Amino acid sequence: MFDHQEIILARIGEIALKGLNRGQFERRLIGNIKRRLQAFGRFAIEQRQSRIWIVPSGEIADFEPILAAVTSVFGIVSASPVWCFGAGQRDDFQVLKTKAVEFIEQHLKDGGSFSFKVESRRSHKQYPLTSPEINVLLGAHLLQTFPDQLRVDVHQPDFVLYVEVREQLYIYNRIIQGHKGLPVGTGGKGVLLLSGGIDSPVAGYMMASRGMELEAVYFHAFPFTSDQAKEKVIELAKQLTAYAGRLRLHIVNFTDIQLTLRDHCPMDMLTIAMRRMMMRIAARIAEENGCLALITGESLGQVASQTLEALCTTDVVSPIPVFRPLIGLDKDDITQMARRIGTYETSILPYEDCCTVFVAKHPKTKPSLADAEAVENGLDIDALVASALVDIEEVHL
Amino acid sequence: MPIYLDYSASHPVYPQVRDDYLALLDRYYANSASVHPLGREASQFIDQSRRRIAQVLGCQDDEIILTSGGSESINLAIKGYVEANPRLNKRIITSLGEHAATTETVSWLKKQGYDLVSLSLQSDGCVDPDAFAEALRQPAALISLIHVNNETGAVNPIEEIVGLRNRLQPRTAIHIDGVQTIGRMPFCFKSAGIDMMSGSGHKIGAPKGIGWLLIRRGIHLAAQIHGGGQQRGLRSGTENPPLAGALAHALRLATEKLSEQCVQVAELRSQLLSHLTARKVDHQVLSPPNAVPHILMVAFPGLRGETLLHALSAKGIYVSTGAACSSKRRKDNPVLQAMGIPAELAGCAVRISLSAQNTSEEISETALAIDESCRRLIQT
Repeated sequence: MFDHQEIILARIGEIALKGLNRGQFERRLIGNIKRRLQAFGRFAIEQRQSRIWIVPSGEIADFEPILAAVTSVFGIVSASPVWCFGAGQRDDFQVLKTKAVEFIEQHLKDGGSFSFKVESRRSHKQYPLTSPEINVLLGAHLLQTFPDQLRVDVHQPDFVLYVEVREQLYIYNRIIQGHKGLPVGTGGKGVLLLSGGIDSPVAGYMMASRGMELEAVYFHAFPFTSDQAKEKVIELAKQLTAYAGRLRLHIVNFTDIQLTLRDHCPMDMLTIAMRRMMMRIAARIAEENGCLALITGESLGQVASQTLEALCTTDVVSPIPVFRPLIGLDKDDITQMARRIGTYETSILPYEDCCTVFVAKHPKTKPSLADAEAVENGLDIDALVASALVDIEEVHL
Repeated sequence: MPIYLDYSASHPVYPQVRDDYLALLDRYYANSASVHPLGREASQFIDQSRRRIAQVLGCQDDEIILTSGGSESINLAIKGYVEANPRLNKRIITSLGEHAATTETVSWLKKQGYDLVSLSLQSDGCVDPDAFAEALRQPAALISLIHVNNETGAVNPIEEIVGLRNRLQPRTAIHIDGVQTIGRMPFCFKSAGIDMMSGSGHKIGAPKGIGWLLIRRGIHLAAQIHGGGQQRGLRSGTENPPLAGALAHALRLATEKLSEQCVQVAELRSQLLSHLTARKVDHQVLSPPNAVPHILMVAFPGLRGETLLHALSAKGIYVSTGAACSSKRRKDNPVLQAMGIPAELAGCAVRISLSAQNTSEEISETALAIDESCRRLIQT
């Protein structure tokens, strides 16, 4: 018997197309993977030939959570658990045959039979067999060894045995799709306005997938919103870290501003006035933390405050760009994404968020900028923003 | 110090009961079904506890089934009775004022083909005896009604209900959800003339995990938990001597000075309302005049109940917005709705539930906190 080592092979996509900056993207990606795998033990991670090889330094009982962690790092297109062997004897076809039989045996443990094919790649060009020859000869050997359990189907096999001949030999059969995108940290920093609903975590996920590092801000209006609502947002932010890496949540005490606005503004403009204040405060947090954009989960026309006119009134108070990655998606698509990234179940917990506390029966759906400015007449906006900035709780996730 | 005003959700374990319980855990660890002396001792202790419980509740000791709590007792009473009496008309009479343990159980039976009559409530939170008499024109297997409403404190007229049943449908059994009864008003199973009564230990100062179902002799139920055949086969599962002892002890403490304690609680309740009036806090009592003094449902127009609850919690004062068991589900309060209280006002209600352990100082502090919260949070 020859020994093998179980490792993870991760594939990169878009990064491979980068020109002179490619090294920078790859270094960031490797750093992100390292941080994500800290909880699982020690790993040697290196990049070779457009692939990332993740080698555990000790025994790993369960590869599944590690695979899940690796595939959720933005920049990874897919990953596979791989058997690696044959250092020193890689040109000996016998070694490959023996390990392939052992690999198949493991997958036959549960009984049954399946169709299969062998698919090989050979970057080590001195190997005595070509890729098609490996496919045919290894396939024939496996069929001979397991005549009752295996049958060949090269079009729609149940099981593909992938073989790669490189500086060592690699075999695997699973390719787990990753979340693609670009490594977090390569696309600048933005502040995500996190409400506790379904949309904003998805918006954060989408911007992080383009490499943006996130800071998050939540407007807490206790006692109108409960501490459970706050816990829920902390939980959502924590869930986002599975993709976006470390993030800091700024919890702004918004109650006094909300009460001031309620007593000062006409009910049908209250949400607009509140959102303008949130944008201003978030923009200041952005400025203080080196962020160059705000991110919201708004989707055009979803609610009264998300009409084009309403968005214009809130956009103008931010001196930095406001990214709305969900703007053209409908609720079903957003919900599906939330389910896929695992935030949906937390988002639908029934706690109020501060935007739903004082909702007018008939809010103004087409407010003009003049309307929005008029309702703020007589308010000391700068003082309100400043008061919010001194009452912020930071949670590091 | 926290001010606890949520006694109807759960009553703290009496310190004497806790000490007693801890000692019992050490003493009666054997299985009461074991034949060795330790087992027999445990079994004898349960019998003794059962006798003490029977004395307080006014029943025979063989009429008591010890359960895990109110919900199990109610499930056993309703499902167990209709299952054991299949020849009776498949009709169950209940009301819109019931706890979820009843409404969910009868809803489940409805799906199994039972006909369900849910009596509406009068504005005083009680079932209308005329509507009840009307419902009894046709035979029914079972009547299941709450005695003291857990949200409003309204007391259903059990005596009148029993009288109507005896006159109109004497074969129909009556089960009473008495979870909020004991410790709030006098009760005697025998003289109540009912067939079954459910109760829960943690509402009266016993630990959580024990309750009872009283079943009048001659009433047959089908077991809902099968196993070793304990408790006459009606409720299998190893019996729990320390919990049985704790329940017996708590029942005695909850009832021995009942009339005195009711006077104290009524005084605290009226103090709270006087403070609110004196402070000019706009409020509306939603509990009816006949309610037990321990449960006060009161609305503060313009301030959502949930918001006030959070504001009070931040000051260390703990109340509920409704039944604690369902307060995490966000929907209109069905009991207040059934009493004809507008949804907007019902949304502004909190339930303050008191005990004789509360003090006048706590009450005035609570009134002050409510006043401050209303001033800050209600739009002027």
